[in-house]
Amino acid sequence: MTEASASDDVGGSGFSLDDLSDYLDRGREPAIAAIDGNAECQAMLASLERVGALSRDLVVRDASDKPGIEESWLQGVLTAISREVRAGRDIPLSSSEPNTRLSITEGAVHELVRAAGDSVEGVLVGRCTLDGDLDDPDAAVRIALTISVVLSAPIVVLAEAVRERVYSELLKHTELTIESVDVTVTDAHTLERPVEEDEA
Amino acid sequence: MTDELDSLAAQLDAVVRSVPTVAALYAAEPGLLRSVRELTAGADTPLAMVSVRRAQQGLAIVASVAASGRQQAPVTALAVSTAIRSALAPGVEAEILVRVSRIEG
Repeated sequence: MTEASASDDVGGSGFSLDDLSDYLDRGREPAIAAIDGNAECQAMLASLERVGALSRDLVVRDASDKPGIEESWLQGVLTAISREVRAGRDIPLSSSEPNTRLSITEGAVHELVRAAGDSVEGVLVGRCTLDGDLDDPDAAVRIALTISVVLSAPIVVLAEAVRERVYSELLKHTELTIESVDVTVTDAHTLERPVEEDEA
Repeated sequence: MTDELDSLAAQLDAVVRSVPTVAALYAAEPGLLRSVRELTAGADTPLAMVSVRRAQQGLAIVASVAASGRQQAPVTALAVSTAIRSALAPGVEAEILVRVSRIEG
C-alpha cells in the first residue's frame, strides 16, 4: 500500500485509486476490511471492473489501424469516477415513520447512472453530473452524462438507449424529480475489423 | 462507546444483514473516524458497521447499506429501519438514519 494523500484517498479509507486497482488485480486477496467495509471503495472497485472490461473491449475493437483509446482519455474517466464515488450529500427519501430518516447518497446515484449507461453494449460513460436542489424532493433535477460508444448501432440509437436506462433506474431507486437526462457522445469508435490478407 | 452500545451495534449488524434486499453493510461513520477508532480499539477488536450513540433523547442509530438492485432502494431503506426498530428493546427511544450508499446488481 502506498501512502494515499488526502486528495488521492478514496472514502477516507487511506487507500488510493492505485491501491484499489492493485487490490482488484490480486483478486481482492488478502481481504482488507478497510476497503471491503467502505462504500466508496466498493463503488470505485465496481467501476474499475466495468471500465476495465469495457475499455479492453474498445481497444480490441479499435485496434485494427487506429490507435486504441488514449491513455489520457482513460485517465480522465478514472478521475471522473474518483470524484463521483464520493458519498457527497444525503438525498432524502420519504419516510412516514417518526424519528426515522431514509436517504440515498449522491455517490450512490452517480454510480447508478454510470452503471445504467455502461450496461448498454459498447457504451462507456465518461462523466456524470446531477444539477438541481437534491434536498428538495419537488425540485427539478437535470442529469447530464458523456459517453464513448462503439458504433454497433447508429449513435442516436445508442444515446437514446442510455437515456432510457438511466431514466428507468433513477425512477426505480430514487425519488428525484427528473427534468431531463442529457446524453452527449464525446467519442465514437468504429467496428472496422482488420482486413485479412486473403480478403485483400 | 460503552460495551452496552458496542453489543447493540454488533447485534444490529446482524439484523441489517438479515434484511433480504440488503446486498452489503458498510461502516456508517466516515472512513477517517473509523480508522482512528480501529487504532484505539486494537486490531483484535472488530468494530460494528452500524453506529449506535447516545443522543439527547435515546439513541442515534445510523446504518449504511448497499441495496439490491432487484428491489426499489427506498423500500429496502424502509425495511432496514423497520428491522432495526423491531430489534430494540421495548420503550427504547431511537432516531434512526438509514443511508443507501450503493445499489448493487
